Amino acid sequence: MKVARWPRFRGRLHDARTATAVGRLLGVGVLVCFATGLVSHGLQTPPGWLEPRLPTRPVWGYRVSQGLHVATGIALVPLLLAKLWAVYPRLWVRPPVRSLPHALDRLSVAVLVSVGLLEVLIGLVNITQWYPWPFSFKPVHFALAWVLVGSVVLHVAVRLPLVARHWRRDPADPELADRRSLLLGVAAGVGAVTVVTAGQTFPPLRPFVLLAPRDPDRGTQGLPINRTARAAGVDRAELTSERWRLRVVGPLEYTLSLAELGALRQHTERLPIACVEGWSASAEWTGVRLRDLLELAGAPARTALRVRSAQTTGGYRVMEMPGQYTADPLTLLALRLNGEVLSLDHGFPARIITPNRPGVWQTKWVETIEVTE
Amino acid sequence: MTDADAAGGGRTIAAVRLASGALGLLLIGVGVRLLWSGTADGTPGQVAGWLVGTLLAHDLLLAPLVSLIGLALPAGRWRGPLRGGLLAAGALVLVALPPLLRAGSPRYPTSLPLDYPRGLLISLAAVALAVMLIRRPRWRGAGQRGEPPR
Repeated sequence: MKVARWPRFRGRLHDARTATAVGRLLGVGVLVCFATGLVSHGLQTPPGWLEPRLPTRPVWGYRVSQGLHVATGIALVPLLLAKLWAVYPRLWVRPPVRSLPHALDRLSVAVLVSVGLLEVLIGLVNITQWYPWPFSFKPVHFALAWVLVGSVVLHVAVRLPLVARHWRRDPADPELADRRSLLLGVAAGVGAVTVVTAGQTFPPLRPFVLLAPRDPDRGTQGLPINRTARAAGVDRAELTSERWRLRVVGPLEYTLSLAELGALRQHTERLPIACVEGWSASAEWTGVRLRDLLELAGAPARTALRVRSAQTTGGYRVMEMPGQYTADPLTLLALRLNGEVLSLDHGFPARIITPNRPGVWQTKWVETIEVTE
Repeated sequence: MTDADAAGGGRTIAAVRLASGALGLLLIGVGVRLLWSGTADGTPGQVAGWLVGTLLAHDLLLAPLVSLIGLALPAGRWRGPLRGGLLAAGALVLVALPPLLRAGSPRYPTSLPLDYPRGLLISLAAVALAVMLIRRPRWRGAGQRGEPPR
């Protein structure tokens, strides 16, 4: 029986220049993901000091930032693997540990690599609404993001002299042409995965949506559905135009039937739905301005609200809306979508639509609106 | 540039490295604290297991596999385009895997609405075609091998 030999790497391009050229692109990608991830976190679960300062404009803000987050995350797949390929022989250095600083360096690289791989992996799987891990995705993805960006900063600090030496290409390097061809291959990988997925949020690429988890053109009434009435556990019998009532609780309290709500002044606005999972689509919404409903309840325009849905399952049954959203004339309690009465899966009889807010807060099957200030 | 300038530059770089190293450790600390106190009981251990598993899957399965494929690449003018094509194809397969493995059981009717096997075949065919086109002998005028223009 032959004993397995320690691996030897004779391949070229496993060098510092390749690692630098791919690594800086990877670093930019990680930073874009981190920044847009913080934006998403701030918009979806803002800390108290930030809540009143969240902007309602531009209306497409979250659409762009979250679309960029997911598209960049997908582009990290070829970038991260190419970078790891370039430095892979370093895994097998002999002796495996030379000194305490060397051991610490190897440990920090192990953290960087494992967190980078896992963060991209769970993000990629999560956007298909598949959760094959035992933990809750959101807090883990958020915590690992900080570990990853910290590990990248630390890694750059440790490798700075090496990076500086290889920042520019050496014209005398015999591997120049081969490396350029490899980098073109990496770019082809980034381009390929982007072209077949980014159309789920970027309309010009929509014809090429081949592998995206969502197709904005496939849905009912011209819009995908994230959560059906059945999945949300709403009681259909209660949500008929005869039985359903909207209750508004402020200084004055009142209820409206669907017919009465439809008799109030209707506004039509074009606003996007943008999901944390990276798809988005624009639609035309018709309904009553939320601030008009507040006025009827005797509440001032910039009042914070709590909106309750008829859904019985899920973490988004109760929605808090800071005052700047309620004051915005684009914020509607929508009754119609693209000219048709809302379907039950789109939130019939009435749903919230707000500019520049994550899709989970565009509450469907609204039953109660309460002033909280 | 004098030696004093060089020494000053060296000191500046050392200071930058020290400061960014400290910042990196601080950010890692924030993340570890979030993982420890911002998640359910048992989560840190589960995440540690997934981290180790992911690392082993890459270092002992994926990377050796890619290296073996690399050994099989021919030398010469096909090498670069083939390598680029394989890179793009591999990235496409990885991105397609979650919807492919999940496609039978989407949570909601409009999640995963596409025909993913078909999408993967089309995108891989496009990559193969691109490799062929890049390597097609070009007509470059007299004295060059290649096909005459049609």
